[in-house]
Amino acid sequence: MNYTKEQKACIWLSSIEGLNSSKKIKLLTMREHPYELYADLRNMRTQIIMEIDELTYEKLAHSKEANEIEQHCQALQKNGVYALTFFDDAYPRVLKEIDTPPILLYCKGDISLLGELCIAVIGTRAPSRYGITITEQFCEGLVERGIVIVSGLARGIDAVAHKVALACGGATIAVLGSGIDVIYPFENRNIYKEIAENGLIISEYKMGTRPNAYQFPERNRLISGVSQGVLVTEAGAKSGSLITADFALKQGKELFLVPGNITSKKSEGANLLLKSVQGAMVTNVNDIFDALGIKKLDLQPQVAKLDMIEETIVKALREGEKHLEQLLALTELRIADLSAILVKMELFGIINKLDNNYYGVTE
Amino acid sequence: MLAKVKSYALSGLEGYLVDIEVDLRPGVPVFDIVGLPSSSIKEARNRVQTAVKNSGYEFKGKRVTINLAPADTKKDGSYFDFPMAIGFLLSSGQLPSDIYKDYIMIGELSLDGTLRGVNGIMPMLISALQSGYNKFIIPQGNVKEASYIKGIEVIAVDTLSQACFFLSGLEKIVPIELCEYKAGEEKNCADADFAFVKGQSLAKRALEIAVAGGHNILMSGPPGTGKTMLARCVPSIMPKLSFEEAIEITKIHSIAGILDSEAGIVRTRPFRNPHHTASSYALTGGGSNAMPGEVSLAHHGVLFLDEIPEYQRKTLETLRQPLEGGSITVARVARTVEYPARFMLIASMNPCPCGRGGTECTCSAREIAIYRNKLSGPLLDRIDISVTVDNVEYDELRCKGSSESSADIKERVETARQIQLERYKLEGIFSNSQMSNALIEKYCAIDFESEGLLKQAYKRLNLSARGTIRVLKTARTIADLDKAQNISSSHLAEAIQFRGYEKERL
Repeated sequence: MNYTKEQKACIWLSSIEGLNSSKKIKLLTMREHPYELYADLRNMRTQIIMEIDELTYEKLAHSKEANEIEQHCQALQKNGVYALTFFDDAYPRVLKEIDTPPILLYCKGDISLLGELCIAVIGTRAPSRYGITITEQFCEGLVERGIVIVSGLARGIDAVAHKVALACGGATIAVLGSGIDVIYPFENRNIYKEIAENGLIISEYKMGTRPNAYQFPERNRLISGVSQGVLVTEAGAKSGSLITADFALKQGKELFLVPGNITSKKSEGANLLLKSVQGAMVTNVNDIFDALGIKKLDLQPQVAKLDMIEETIVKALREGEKHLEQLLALTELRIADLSAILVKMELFGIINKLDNNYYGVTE
Repeated sequence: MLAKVKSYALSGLEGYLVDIEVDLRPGVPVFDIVGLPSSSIKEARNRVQTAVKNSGYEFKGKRVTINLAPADTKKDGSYFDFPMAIGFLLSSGQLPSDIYKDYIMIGELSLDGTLRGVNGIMPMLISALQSGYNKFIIPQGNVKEASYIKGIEVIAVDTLSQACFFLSGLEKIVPIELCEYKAGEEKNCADADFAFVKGQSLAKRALEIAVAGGHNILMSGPPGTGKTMLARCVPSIMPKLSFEEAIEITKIHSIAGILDSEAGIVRTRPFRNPHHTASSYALTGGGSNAMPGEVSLAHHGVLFLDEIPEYQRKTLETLRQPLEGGSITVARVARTVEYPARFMLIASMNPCPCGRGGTECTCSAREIAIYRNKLSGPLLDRIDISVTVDNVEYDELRCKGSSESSADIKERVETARQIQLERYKLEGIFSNSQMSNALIEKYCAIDFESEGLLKQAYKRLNLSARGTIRVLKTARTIADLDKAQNISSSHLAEAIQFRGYEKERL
């Protein structure tokens, strides 16, 4: 991959530590062409030091002298990473509109996905069964309409969202809070590999950057930034997804919130936000399509042929979640028969098994 | 004068003949015991001296040398007291006897001359019988234990002097009578019966399947939901103990010294419940003389590990060999012993460290991951069934309809076990849980509909390949409980309900 002078300047600048995105943009836009910063560094010294401190300037100068830029380009090539700069055509327009867009996105995978209709699906890292189930439902619906699912490769809801997108043959983008070659959390390494092959992984941090805590809120602005809308399926009171939701509102994106059980700690955050954000509540994927002006899905469940017992169970569950023992009393079946029926109904997506042997109906 | 008395000693479950040679000669009064005795044997000199005197015999000041042959094997225990005393009396000429050579003598002496029962009588007698010895003199306290062994002549004595009268022909003692073995029911059902467990139908069903197929089971649920109660009921639905099994268990319990001397034999399946602070040696067996551990004491019974993630990981990993092979090898400097250890593992755990689970849980993902990771993959692979035990609401506790009693469940279990024994006659295994992959292929064929169910389970429930193997084994047991030839889709569906604990699940 041969980069232009402009791109190289961005690669070089993004590898310098101690500069945030807005400073970097300021430096690059000092002259007419961004590469002049690199070419004419010494002459711009006073101007630069006025913007940033002297120490950082020395870093810039030193890096230029050592010709580190070539090393960086080689490392990118070796790792199969493409550097997408702010000045490229492929750089997503929606991202340029946010407050502090990154000057460079390290990309691994199919960068054309950035031009597609993207929806971020995020939530708590420790989801309940309810959170997992609804995340799966929404993602399946979104994928069916060809929407790219954006998330953060974190534990919990993020991982579920990525997994469902991949399993349904949909496209997905993972936005990392670490360097693009640093897999965090490591337990998601298989998802990482699969997304690298069949989706897109992006990060604004230079390669090898550790997943420092402060980077995750920064990263969250990109999750909402590259997306047209943000869907929060389950979020506790202190969930990081609320930060992303905040960014979504600031950036003028659509925010979709799924209401949760009011007694559940894991839904506290999303429920609280629901009270203050008008019209953010969604209860099925069609609500999202409505807001985005996309053709709705036919959500009528395929008319599965239910026999009498199954009918009874579904009817009972429509009134509210029921415990296994209650169903047992209701149907007067032996436990062996009932659990076989319940598993079959679960597998065909008619009912859901919730925590503590409770069951609920899917729609 | 020299006297030679036969006695027996144990190395693990196997016994070996020990010749006790007593020599008396004039000289400085010394009492020497050679032949690698342990300190409990060395102390025998005081017990023997005093018991001999208190039984009305003389202990003349002479040099006594006692050799325990074979001289190169380390010996332990107190069962040589009695033969040593007899040997002394013989060599000092105070006991004229012709018949002493026919008998193997075992027993501990008390200072007043009475004989105390010792541990390990049953394995010793059985092993001696196999080597061709069939006449024994043992303490009265061990009578019950000995009375279950066919084809031996056992003389039980109360005191040293009674034994002397018998050996010199002054008193006739009738050999003890053979006891008829009856599997016991009286003890284990009184307080632990599934009839008393309200609700928890799913857990009860899971336990029934587990027992029927010899599967290990993991129950997870918040504290106070009755996991321990459920586990305690399990022996009451296990098949009746056969005589051979009872003997195997009794041998181990006899060595460990936990045998009820009144009963003399273990009639009910053991239920072992070691605390989670147990060391790996407590579980597997050990000590300088390689005593059996909890896994062996639970042989043919239940090993219940409550709060399994609280055990040390090292301790849990030691369970892998017995879970796989049904036996454990305990190697120590002095000896290497193999004990049988074919038990059913029942493990219980909380859903997370805080115990509440579900939506009320306050643990971080990391805490939960650490908690669950204490169970290693290889260990989980050996646990076919897992079930969620949940809080029973008050009104469910009083819900109508009585629960099934253990006796009813036991009947179904016994039928299912019989079917398995029949099926695996030529395969060298006893239950579904022991099936290898090849056997699963052979006996767990599923139809087209079930195939579809499995595919759905892959997709919707993240069922893994290893999970599938466990599901198939469980399905086979469910079909057996149903007395069905083939696994139907309903059997499979129920087995999916109990699919093993999956680590990857979020």
